[in-house]
Amino acid sequence: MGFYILRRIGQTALTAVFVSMIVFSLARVTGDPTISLLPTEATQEDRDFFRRQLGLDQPLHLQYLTFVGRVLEGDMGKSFRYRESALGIVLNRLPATLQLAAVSMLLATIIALPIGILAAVRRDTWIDTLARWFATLGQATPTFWLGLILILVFSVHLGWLPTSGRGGVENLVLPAITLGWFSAAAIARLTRSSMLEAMQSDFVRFERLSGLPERIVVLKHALRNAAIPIVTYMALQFGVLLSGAVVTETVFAWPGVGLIVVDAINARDYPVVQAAVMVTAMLILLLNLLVDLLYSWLDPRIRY
Amino acid sequence: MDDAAGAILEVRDLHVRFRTRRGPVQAVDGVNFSLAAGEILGVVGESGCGKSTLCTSLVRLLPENAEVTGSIRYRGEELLTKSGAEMRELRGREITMVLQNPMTAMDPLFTVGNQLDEVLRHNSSMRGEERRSRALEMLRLVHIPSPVERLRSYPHQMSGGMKQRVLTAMATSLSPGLLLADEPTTALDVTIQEQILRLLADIRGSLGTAIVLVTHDLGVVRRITDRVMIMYAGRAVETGDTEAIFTDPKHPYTRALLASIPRIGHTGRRLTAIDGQIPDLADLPPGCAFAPRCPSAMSGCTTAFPPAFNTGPERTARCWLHEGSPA
Ligand SMILES: Nc1ncnc2c1ncn2[C@@H]1O[C@H](COP(=O)(O)OP(=O)(O)O)[C@@H](O)[C@H]1O
Ligand code: SF4
Ligand SMILES: [Mg+2]
Repeated sequence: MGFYILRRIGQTALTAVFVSMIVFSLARVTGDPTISLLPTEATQEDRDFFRRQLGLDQPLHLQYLTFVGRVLEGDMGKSFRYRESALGIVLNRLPATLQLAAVSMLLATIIALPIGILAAVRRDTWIDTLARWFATLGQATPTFWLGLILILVFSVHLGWLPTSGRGGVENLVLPAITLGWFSAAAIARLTRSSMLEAMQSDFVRFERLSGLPERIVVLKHALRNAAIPIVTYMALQFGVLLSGAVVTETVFAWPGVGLIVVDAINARDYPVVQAAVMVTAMLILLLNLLVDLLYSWLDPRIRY
Repeated sequence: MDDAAGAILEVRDLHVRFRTRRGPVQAVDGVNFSLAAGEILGVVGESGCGKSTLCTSLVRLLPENAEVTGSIRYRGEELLTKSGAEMRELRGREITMVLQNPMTAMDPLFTVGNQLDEVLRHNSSMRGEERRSRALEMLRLVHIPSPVERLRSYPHQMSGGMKQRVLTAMATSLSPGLLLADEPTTALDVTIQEQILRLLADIRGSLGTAIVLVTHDLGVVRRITDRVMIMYAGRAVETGDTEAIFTDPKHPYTRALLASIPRIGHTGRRLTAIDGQIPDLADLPPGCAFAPRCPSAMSGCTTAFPPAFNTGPERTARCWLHEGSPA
């Protein structure tokens, strides 16, 4: 077990280095910053001076090391627009995005697991048909469209819930449904198929032959076995939710990382974009590590 | 086969038919047999002749596309009319089964101890400590070395043979009256097969459990079974005392099976190919299903399906060659 964890942590560190390289080179291929940052009438001397200032005259690997050193100190440059730490701006917005993604995930799980399990247990009945419709429709619904419809119905027509902003629970409901909808459908579908597969297995047959009650066979053994792919998928979905929050945050003016990234891209505020990409990527890496540890806890075949 | 009053299991005119897209498949077709307490019945036949279906029908765990008719009496009680809850009471306690592939028959995510304990907890009123000592006792009975440590192992930490022994322990931990063993050694190494079979014979001896043993291995059948049922295309074509059938087979299919045993070679005697193919159960020929492969086939064989003729004391054969014998 110890070795497995160490190896996974090592792999995560390696991937983090790789991600930082990508983020670093993205900054370099987005063009010569002296062109976007200096006024057009700047002379060649001005530009050279500026390049030296930014360290752009150094060899690439030294530039990269400088970049990493700064990132480790929490310095990802200053936002061009706000003249503040880019990382600070992103981290400020992070709680809002995490909250939205977490609530969406929770909602999706609460809805999807029972639907998926029930559909598998009542295979080929009307419950199963209904569940399959839910999964297909849910996965086919475009996020922005769903968001707009929800706003139209619940905010504009019924006036029950606010259209935008962050505040109490009432602000969270529509964005969370919008963001979690796809995941709920996807998780329900996967739960159904994983459960069906688990319930076909020999050990389920043997447990029934051994007189175990159906509830133990299904909810303890089949579900626990089905949970391995489901948990993995849910972690992936959480990553998707984090990055997919862009659309939902825009529709609902939810003040998260997604919203600020869209702003920053429009304003060509590269340091902020870079910081947001870095933070999101690191979060997803961490999440994957966490899932692998959970996985090893779920499956003794990995543990030993 | 008479109506043995002491029979623990009595199967009469059992039919199992699967509804499939290709039409109905008659997997078990009018099977009769009875089993006394502590008796071992060998069920032999080529793949696809309905042996597994027969076993599974006895515990009422066939898939939903199966239609079962006839009568299955266990200790005098009809099983086919029992409710799901009543059947669950019987399973694990009175009637148990070991499966062909021990590698996949245990939940990989739980320890052996946990799974053994679960079977005892849900089928008896034993308390925790009692269950633990019973589990240890069972592991010792099936010759598992260091049973205390084994309780903490996961299935993947054990060999196939050891798993099959643990599964046998699970299946017999409450001294069931009937154990169904569906090819329990087919997936195992030849050397291990022997151990498992000896174990089954031991269990019959120590617990008095009656066993239905499905196997391809005729050598095994001869050594450990009391009686044999030869199946062909869903039908019990010959039944009788093991020794009598081996020394004097009456049905041409039984003769063909016995002839297919290699004369030399002591273990792992599998059924080698008999010329021709087993018939399609969804599209059986009229009359005797063995006729296309039968060296003794006569013109009348394909017109009517032979009934079970008595060919000796407690012996039957479904073959027109024995028409003279009382049906
Ligand atoms: N669930 C099912 N649906 C349809 N046909 C089945 C089903 N299970 C078994 N059969 C058919 O029943 C016949 C007997 O199968 P089985 O009992 O597994 O034979 P055996 O154990 O002797 O190899 C085969 O022709 C098989 O295809
Ligand atoms: S009934 Fe006829 S075809 Fe069938 S086994 Fe007997 S002799 Fe052969
Ligand atoms: Mg079989």
